[in-house]
Amino acid sequence: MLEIINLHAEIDGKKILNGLTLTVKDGEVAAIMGPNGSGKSTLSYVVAGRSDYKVTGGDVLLNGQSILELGAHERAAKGLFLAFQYPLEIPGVTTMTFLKASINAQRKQRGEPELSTPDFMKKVRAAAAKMGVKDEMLRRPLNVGFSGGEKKRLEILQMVLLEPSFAILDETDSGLDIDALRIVGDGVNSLRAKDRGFLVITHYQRLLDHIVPDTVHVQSQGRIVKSGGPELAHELEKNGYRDYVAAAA
Amino acid sequence: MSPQQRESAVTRVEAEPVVATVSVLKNEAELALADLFSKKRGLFIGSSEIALRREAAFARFAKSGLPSKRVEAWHYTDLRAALRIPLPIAEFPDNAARALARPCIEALRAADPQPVTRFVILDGIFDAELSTSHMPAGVSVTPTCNSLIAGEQRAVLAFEAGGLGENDPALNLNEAFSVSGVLIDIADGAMIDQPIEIVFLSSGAHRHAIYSRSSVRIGEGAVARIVERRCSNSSVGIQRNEALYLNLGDRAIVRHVAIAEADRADCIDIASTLLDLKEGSELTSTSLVHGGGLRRRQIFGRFNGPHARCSLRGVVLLGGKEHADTTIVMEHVAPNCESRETFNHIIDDEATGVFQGKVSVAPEAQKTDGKMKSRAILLSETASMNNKPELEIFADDVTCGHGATCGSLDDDQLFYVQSRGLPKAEAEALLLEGFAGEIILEIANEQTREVLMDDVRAWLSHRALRGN
Ligand SMILES: Nc1ncnc2c1ncn2[C@@H]1O[C@H](COP(=O)(O)OP(=O)(O)OP(=O)(O)O)[C@@H](O)[C@H]1O
Ligand SMILES: [Mg+2]
Repeated sequence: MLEIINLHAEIDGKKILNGLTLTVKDGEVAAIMGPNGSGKSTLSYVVAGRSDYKVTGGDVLLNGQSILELGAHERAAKGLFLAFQYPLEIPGVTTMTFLKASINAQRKQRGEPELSTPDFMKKVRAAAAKMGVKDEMLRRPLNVGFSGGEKKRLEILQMVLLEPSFAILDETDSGLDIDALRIVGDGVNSLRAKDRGFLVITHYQRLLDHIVPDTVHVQSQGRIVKSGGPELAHELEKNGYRDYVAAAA
Repeated sequence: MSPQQRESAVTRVEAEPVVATVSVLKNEAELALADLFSKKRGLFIGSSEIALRREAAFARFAKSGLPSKRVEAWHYTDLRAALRIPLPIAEFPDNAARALARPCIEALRAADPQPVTRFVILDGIFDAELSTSHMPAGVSVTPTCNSLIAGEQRAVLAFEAGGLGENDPALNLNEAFSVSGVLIDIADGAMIDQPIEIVFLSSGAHRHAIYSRSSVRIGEGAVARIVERRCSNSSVGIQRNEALYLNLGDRAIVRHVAIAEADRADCIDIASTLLDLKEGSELTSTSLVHGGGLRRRQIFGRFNGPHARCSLRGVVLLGGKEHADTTIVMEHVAPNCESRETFNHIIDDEATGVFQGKVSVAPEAQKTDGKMKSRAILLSETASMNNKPELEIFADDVTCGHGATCGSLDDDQLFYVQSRGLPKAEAEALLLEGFAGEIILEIANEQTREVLMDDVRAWLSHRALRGN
């Protein structure tokens, strides 16, 4: 469960989150929609622990425990995962090496033994096959020269392998072709579980056709200004944000 | 190509305005070197032709003196300031030196058990006992000193080295003072599977100056792997000035790996590599260089025939107060050749890196494709990097370019890696490993690749232990 309570955050002196409150329960898939620049990615960075954002008020609880004092790597080990809107290229580090380093870094923090290479390979191969990620791609440096859609698939592959208890997906649908959208949707759906929550940030209904959310929230100017069920996404698709942007101002 | 043509190409390079260096030998070190040369000149082994070459080389040195900041090619590595007292020239290695050397060679064997044909230059002198005795078919070898004594032409060729770098003061000293090294010959058409490794080892038994001159002739159409390894076991400050001439025949293919282990802070190490590339030949070189007190790796290369390719790639890892200089001059005097220089530096603490790359293209070298890229990651406020890429183009139909960047690790990449569960120090190490990996992972041989990556990882974990 993720609880965001009256969160205020700024970067370089600019206030971006202005008292944002949102709870996503275990087993729930929540969607956030909102205009460009409303602070959706900022919210995901602040929750994931990016240190150049300054939290000036409020709290974030993961499974009942405040995580604001924790480093990004500790939050990850506690089960938080962020699929980036713009995944970074990591030259010189093969995807395989990166995946192994991530999994084992988390296991180490949790006091679990490292995965053996054969176990790891088996796990990766199975997950990669499911996500339509070719072996050749796993041997290439992570995200370097990958297409926009391939990078997003890789994000979901990482999520599937890391088995987080809470995942934030920031515009994972952008750049995906129709087939990839379904594969990503299936990937997320396969992880849906009683003890796992999702926060899906998106601009479009089409992702929510695959990942049907339990709740939909509208973010504007750094706050949640409206919450509802899946029907809210349809309404936004029809009418845009006009009403909500005015309400937040 | 005729000597005249070569001469004219060299003259053109010099037509570029350079900082004037009117110095007669005057500081103490220079006077000591002159004194040393005049005492030794009658004792050096070699034919009269070699003796004349030594005289000419020393005369060129005497004209330039030790290079200081004021010499453009040595601007960032002030040899004149660093070399205050020239040490006596190394004697033939004694038992103490051999005893210190043996474990170093054992350690090399243990670190990389791949079978190699190994040649050890111990304190500047070829050491048959530490070297491989059985030569693969197509490979023949003579110690430079034997060849000098016998008055062989191949010793002359190794000293002449196609005239490469003949205006470099350090190389002139090398030609004047070298009496040993190894001359390797790979027969035309030979396919040599097993790597040929030349180990330049300093035993650390004595404080002295080491000079050596070696060469490898790679025959027409021959294929070989050559490893150049610089190891220092020194517990004392020494001065090294060693040169290796790689002479590639038409269509020869060479994969070259150069490794320079860390050196002491009070050591001066100048390694010159001279590349002679004939028609259709291909050289791919990857280097991993650690720092030292004053370390300079200088590469003088020339495309002497069309359709040749040369790719020089390198990783340089520096910490403490180390200094390492990579200076490359590639001369295109034949058309349709391709040169690449790609260097990644990781610099910590108060260390200094230097990359100077010069690609010069003569008027007749049409369709030259030359690209240089130098990137540095600085890990501390006090680390520094000097980048000087240079293009000197006299042909009109060429594709040449260069790029240089210098900065700290990327915050976005760091956060991305941390968000996957890696603590900051490990995230940094992974990114740095990748930065080095970009260069090293291009090595075709998996085992060699892993040995080099292990070396990088060891450096990174050592850095982590130092508490950075
Ligand atoms: N370093 C920074 N300094 C100043 N402003 C910043 C900085 N980083 C982000 N911002 C601003 O914060 C606001 C929120 O950005 P954010 O990326 O969170 O929006 P978003 O809702 O994710 O938009 P989109 O839908 O386009 O992805 C934007 O106006 C952006 O310009
Ligand atoms: Mg965004």
